[in-house]
Amino acid sequence: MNGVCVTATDRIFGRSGLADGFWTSVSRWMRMARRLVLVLVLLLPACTTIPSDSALEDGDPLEGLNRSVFAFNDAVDQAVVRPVTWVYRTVLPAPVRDGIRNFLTWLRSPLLLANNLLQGDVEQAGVTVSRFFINGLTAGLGDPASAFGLMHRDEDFGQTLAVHGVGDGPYLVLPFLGLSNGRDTVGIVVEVLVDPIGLFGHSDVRTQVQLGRTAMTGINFRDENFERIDDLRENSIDFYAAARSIYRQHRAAVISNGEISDPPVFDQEPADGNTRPKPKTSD
Amino acid sequence: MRVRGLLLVVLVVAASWAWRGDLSAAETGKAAEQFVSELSNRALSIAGDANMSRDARHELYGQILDRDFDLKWISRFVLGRYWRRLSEADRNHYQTLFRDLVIHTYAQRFTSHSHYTVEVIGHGFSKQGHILVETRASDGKMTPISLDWRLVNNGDGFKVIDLVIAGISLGITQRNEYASVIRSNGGRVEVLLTEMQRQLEGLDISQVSKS
Repeated sequence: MNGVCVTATDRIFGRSGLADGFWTSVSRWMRMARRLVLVLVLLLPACTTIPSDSALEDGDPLEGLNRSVFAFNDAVDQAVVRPVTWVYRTVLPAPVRDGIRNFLTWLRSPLLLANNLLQGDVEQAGVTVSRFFINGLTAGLGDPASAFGLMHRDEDFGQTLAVHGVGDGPYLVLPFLGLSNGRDTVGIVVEVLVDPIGLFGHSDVRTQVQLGRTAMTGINFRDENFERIDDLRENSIDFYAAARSIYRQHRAAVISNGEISDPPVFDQEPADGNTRPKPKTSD
Repeated sequence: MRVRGLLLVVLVVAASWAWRGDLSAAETGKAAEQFVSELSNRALSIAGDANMSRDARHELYGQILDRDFDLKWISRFVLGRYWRRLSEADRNHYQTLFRDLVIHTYAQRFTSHSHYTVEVIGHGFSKQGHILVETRASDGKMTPISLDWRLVNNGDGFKVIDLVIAGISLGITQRNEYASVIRSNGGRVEVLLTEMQRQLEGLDISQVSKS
């Protein structure tokens, strides 16, 4: 496994340098990712029954399996994650939690940079590097870089694949990790394999550090979305369907880096509608 | 020569029409920005009034909803093609349930965000002719959240038909959720109405339903 990790990171940060091997690496990564997506797409349907028409219509061929995993995750959330997060946000003052959040974000800097470059976003790559060094003055606990207009923008390998035209794949709910799809699951796997933070130290310590980091990332996510998740859970008739819709829209928004979307669904006239707007531009 | 002159006149007229169109669009966009700014300030000031009772707050939100939102359009959009399957009586029942649910849910959400301010960033037009007003909500501490408003202008003023928070459309989310409920119950829309009624009862807002 380490061999794979080192090889993969060498491709990005290795002796050949960014300029020489960059596009070769990109094409290899794309080929590898597509193969993984293909394997996932081929294997996962074999684990479940024939999808219903309703599931296919929702673009969720594994809906039965996904709903089961979603219910499991929800039970874990209600029994463990939410109570732990409640204690976390009750005991620790906001500045301390902000510090932890900043630190977790700062630790993602190498992955952010790699994704910025793989997406060809040199400008944001500069922001990532600047943020890494400026926030590094506070050991990653503070975010003075934002005061200079160097704003954090999260990127991940799932987004990078999407930028290069890889489709969503089937919608997936992963145990403990939550909402995903075929492409984003590949993204998670690739990031775990190549994250340089995960390559340092003795293997036992490394495992503990990684587990601790993953747990903290989960608690931080629940903390950031505490009211939102509670609200959605309380105010939706079909919590699973609402969460699926939000996940898809959120991913589309982050892939487009927050550009205002104009979904084609608004092309449809509401049935019996008599309030079809007339464009004021043609006045 | 005469043809060339005629062509010139046509070009000038076309250009002036295009310019008038641009000007009109810019004016419409600015007016829409003003509308959104006033609407969000009014909603937040209601949310921020700690002395107001829950019922009074719901009453005021109901007034805003009826005046500044095209609730009929939204409720039909959210139901999508299943709207056609409802009888006239069920449509009315559905729209009443939908209005009550929106008031309860968003009164709660607005109240917990009363310390936010909303800043207008700009506007654009969708290909359907809707006006998209881009705003940013901030509490001065966390990273501001993008808040995009989709409006129609039917001659009797602007009406909101969707709100997109950090890229997530409330209308589309609701539409997907309701479609899933209906589909997983064999396409029976009446099941959705029953579920909506149950949700309202669970939320204990019978007083709002009666008002």
